[in-house]
Amino acid sequence: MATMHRYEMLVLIDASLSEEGTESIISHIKEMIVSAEGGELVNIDRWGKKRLAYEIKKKQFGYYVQIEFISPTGLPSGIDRYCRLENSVIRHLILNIPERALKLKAREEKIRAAMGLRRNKVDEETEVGHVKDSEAPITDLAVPVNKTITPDPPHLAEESAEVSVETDTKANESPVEEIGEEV
Amino acid sequence: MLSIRRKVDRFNENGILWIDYKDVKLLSRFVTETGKIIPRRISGTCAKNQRMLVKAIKRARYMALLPYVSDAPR
Repeated sequence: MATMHRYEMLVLIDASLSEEGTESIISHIKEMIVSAEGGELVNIDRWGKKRLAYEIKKKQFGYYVQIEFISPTGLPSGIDRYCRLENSVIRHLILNIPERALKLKAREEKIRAAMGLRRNKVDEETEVGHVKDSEAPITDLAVPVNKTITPDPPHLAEESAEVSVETDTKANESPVEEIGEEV
Repeated sequence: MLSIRRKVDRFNENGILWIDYKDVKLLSRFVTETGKIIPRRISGTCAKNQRMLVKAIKRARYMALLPYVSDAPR
């Protein structure tokens, strides 16, 4: 009996590829997972088309898909091989999710819940609503600071809303200022 | 001059135990405008978290979520 592991995979597919082409790659990977002995697809998350932080093969955009799965140890290398051979897959990253990570994530939520969740909850709700209303139309013109550093994926913004709300206040103070001091 | 505040690890502070490479918003706070990783002597991150952070940033870079270099911020 093969040992099962939990994996997380992020695939970056050429955004200029047709929809069918993209889908066929995704379904091929799905197939590989499902057809493996004991393989199980946990979650699939399409981030969609996003601007790349830097050009790869003259391409500025890519289609990101995140796949979580459980499989025996041999499978990831097979998927890896497939991704390397498939020219439309620009980048891919398959990671084993260690038990530790899951535990830490769970504990993290508890701790964060204990740390003034209430106040942040409110902030979060208002902020999320806010961002969604105002940011959507203005994106091209305003918000230059965020844009420059990383093209913020809308999906990520949602996912990490809680984190960002909390770090926001602190982050604004520390690193940039202190660099200034140092120089 | 060098205040005690400098030694505050912002991950511990905010109860972040696992630094995920997909959390671009978080990671981008620990990177300069030109894309360099901010050293822990400046950010105050503890050694353990800095190691995790660096790994996450490098993974994010590989997946084109963060730039390796960006001289001219777009």
